[in-house]
Amino acid sequence: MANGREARQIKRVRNEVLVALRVVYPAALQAGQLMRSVLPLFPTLEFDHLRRDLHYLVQKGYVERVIADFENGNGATPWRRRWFRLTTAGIEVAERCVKDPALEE
Amino acid sequence: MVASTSSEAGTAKTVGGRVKRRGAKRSGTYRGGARYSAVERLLPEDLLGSLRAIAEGEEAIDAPLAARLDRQFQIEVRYGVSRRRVRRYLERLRAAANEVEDREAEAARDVEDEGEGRTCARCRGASGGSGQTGDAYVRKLADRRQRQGSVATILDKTLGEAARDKPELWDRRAYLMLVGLIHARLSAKDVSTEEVVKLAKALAENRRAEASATKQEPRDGPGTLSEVRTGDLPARFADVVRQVYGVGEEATKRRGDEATQ
Repeated sequence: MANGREARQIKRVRNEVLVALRVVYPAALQAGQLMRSVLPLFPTLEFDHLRRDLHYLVQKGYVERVIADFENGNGATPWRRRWFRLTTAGIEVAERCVKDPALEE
Repeated sequence: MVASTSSEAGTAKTVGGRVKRRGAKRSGTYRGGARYSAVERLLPEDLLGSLRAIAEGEEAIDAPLAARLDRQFQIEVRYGVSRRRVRRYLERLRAAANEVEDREAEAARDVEDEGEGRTCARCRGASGGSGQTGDAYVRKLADRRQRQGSVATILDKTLGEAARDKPELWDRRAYLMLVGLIHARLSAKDVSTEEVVKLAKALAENRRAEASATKQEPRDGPGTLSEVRTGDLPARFADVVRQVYGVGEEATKRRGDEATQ
């Protein structure tokens, strides 16, 4: 359990984030859009949980934050409006070219 | 006391609290193909529902459970089956339920393999972490995979070409917003998966038609597509040769004349 969630659900949410970002690759999605995208599958998911997962994926090097034009990267942009894109390592995991035991169920 | 009833399963006789049936089908299949026995067909719907719920749930199959069911439904008196048999029956039901679940998980895995890369198929018999059953999660997941595949097709057909040609777009806010908007709109609940799939197919067909029309455009040029394909000389080939080599020939002749003068 982490933050009141089962490990299995955490893995599933992270996988679904990778799937959603893979659909729009090489473009990016905002965290709010990602949240709305995975909500039908995980109705009880909270934004704080998704934020934790996004942070994990960024730290792991699978997802990167995109700082678009007209956006200053000093952290002023709210999390929901931040754009995230798959990195090369992330697309490899999303396309199952590379296996990550931490994301396998 | 002898009472007889008739149903689609056959004719039943109740003799001393025991039910005997003639002409009843011995077995059938669940939705997923798992077989169920003739005994199951004899049970009333409420009991059957209760048994199935137990078979699919987490409750352990043991003697007390069989006794409780017997008290509740008078199984031993009404159907003449022992508690041990009830227990065996429950175990068989659970096995059948697991088999159906396995099949559905396998079907979901096939859908994923065709569509998206990631898999969550090893979720059989498990909930999505939100109180939903494993079956419901697998169904939702399969639906989501299909929808995501169609969304990817639509995005590729609408913006893919521009994105491929101009990588500088990838960080442009307008482009990101447009992609996000399309994705959010198509992933929203008010648009069904069927509609998204239809849209993707229509768009792909449209693009294919456009591409084939573009290929056939050079009809007005030196040769038609069929001529190029068959290797025949185009009708205006002589003109082309005359234009190219004729000019060259005239220029050579002019140079020769100038040299002789």
